[in-house]
Amino acid sequence: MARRSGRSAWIAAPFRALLQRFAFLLLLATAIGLVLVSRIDRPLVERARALVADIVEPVLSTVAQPVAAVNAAVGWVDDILFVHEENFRLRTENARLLQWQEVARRLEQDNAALRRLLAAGPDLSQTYVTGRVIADGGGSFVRTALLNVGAKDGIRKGQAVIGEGGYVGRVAEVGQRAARILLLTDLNSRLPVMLQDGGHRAVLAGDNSPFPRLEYLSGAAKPAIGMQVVTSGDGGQFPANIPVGEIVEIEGGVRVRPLVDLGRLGFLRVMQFDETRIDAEDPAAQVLPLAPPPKGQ
Amino acid sequence: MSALLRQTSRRIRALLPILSSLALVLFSLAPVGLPHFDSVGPAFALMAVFYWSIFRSDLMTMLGAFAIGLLLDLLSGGPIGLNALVLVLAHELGVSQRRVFLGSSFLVNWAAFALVIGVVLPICWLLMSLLHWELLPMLPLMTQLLLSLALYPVIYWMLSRLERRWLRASVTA
Repeated sequence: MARRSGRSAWIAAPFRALLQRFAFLLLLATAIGLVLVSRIDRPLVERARALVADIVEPVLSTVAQPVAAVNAAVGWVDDILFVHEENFRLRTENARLLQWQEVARRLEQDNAALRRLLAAGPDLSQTYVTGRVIADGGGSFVRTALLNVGAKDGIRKGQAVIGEGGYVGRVAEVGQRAARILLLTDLNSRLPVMLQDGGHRAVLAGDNSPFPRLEYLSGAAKPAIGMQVVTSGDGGQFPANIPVGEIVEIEGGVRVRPLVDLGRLGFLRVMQFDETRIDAEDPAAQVLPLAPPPKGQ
Repeated sequence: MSALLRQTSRRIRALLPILSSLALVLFSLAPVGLPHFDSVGPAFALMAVFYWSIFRSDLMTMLGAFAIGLLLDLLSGGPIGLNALVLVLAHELGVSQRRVFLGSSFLVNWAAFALVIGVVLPICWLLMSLLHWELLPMLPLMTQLLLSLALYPVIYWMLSRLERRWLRASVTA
C-alpha cells in the first residue's frame, strides 16, 4: 500500500471510519434481509443451495472419508466401553426376536395363503438409492444432512430417507450430485404418523430437540411409553408403516425417540416410491410391517 | 522474475485467513458423530473469524466474514443470512476491541471469545425463535456454546502457528 501524505490521511481517516461503520450496518441489514427472504422465497433459496452443494460436493465427499474412519474408531472405543451393557441388551433382544421370528414365519404363510385366496398381486417392492452422508447441519438451529446422491441418481424432492432401523427424514432439496435431507428432528419437519397399535393418526413435529413431539393425536388414542410409531402414508409421498420411533415421554406432551441414531449417520437409503403405482387405501398393496414389538411384552 | 514470484507468494499468503476459515467451515460440516451427543458441533467459523479479526483485520475484512457466513448458510441448510449475521457481528466485536486484545495474554483473549459467543449465539437463538414464533430449545445452544469454548484454545493455537509461520508483518493486503 502506498504511503499517504500526512494531510490526506488526516482527511481520509474519519472518512474511512464512517465508511466502515456504514458497511457494518449495511451488511447487518443485508444479513437480516436474507434471513427474511429465505423464509419467504423458498424455491429461490433451494436452487441456490442445490447449486452450491453441487459445486462443493467433491470436496465434502473427500473430507467425509477420513472423518468416517475417525468416526469408526470412536465408535469402536465406545463399543468397548459399553460392551457389557450392550451384550446384556442384545441377549434379551435376541430372545425376544427369536419369538418374533416364529410369529413372522407364521404370518408370512398366513399372508401368502390369504393373498392366494384374494388373488391379489405381489407386494410392490421399493427400490432404494444408497448415499453417504457428506455433511451435516453442524449448527444448533438446523437438523439436516447432505447426501452424495442427487437428481442424476434418481433422487426426487419429498422421497423418504431410511437409515439403519427406520425413518430418518425426507429429501428437501435436490441438486445434480447432492441432496439435502431434512431430518425428522428439524424444526421444519412435520411427518404424518400413526401409532402402530390402533392406527391412531398424528403428526410428528420436530423442534430441534432429540425427541420430536407427537401432535394432533386423537383423544381416543392412549399413548404409552414404549409404543411404536410408524409412518401413516398420509400425503402420499411415501408408504405407510415405515418404523419411525417409540414413545419415551407422555407427560407434558408426547415425545418420540427416533429408532435411528441421528447423531451417527453414515450410509442412508432413499426410497424410490411412486405414489401413482399403488393406491394407499388398498390394503392388499400395503407393505407388511415387521417392526419390533412394544417394550414390556 | 523473482520479484513476481515473491509478489504472487505474498498474495496467496494474504489469503490465508480467508482460506483457513473456509477450511474450518468445511470441517465443521463434516459428519462427525460423537456418540451420546446431539448433532451439534462447535462454531469453528466463528472462532476463525474472531481470531483473524483481532490479529489480521487487514486480511480478514468484514466482507470476507460475511461471505464465509453466507457459504456456511448455503451449505448447512439453515436460514440464509444467519451465519453471515453472526460472523459480521463477531468480526465487528473483534475489530473494535483489537487494541485491547493485541498485547494481552491468551487467557484474556479466551475470556473475550467467551463474551462474544455469549452475546452472538443467544442473539441467533432469539432471532430464530422470533422467526418461528416459538421458544426454541436452549440445550443445543448451550451445547454449542460450551463445545466452542472448550475447543477455542486448539483453534487459537493452530491459527497462531499458521500466522507465525506464513504471515509476518511484511504480508499486507
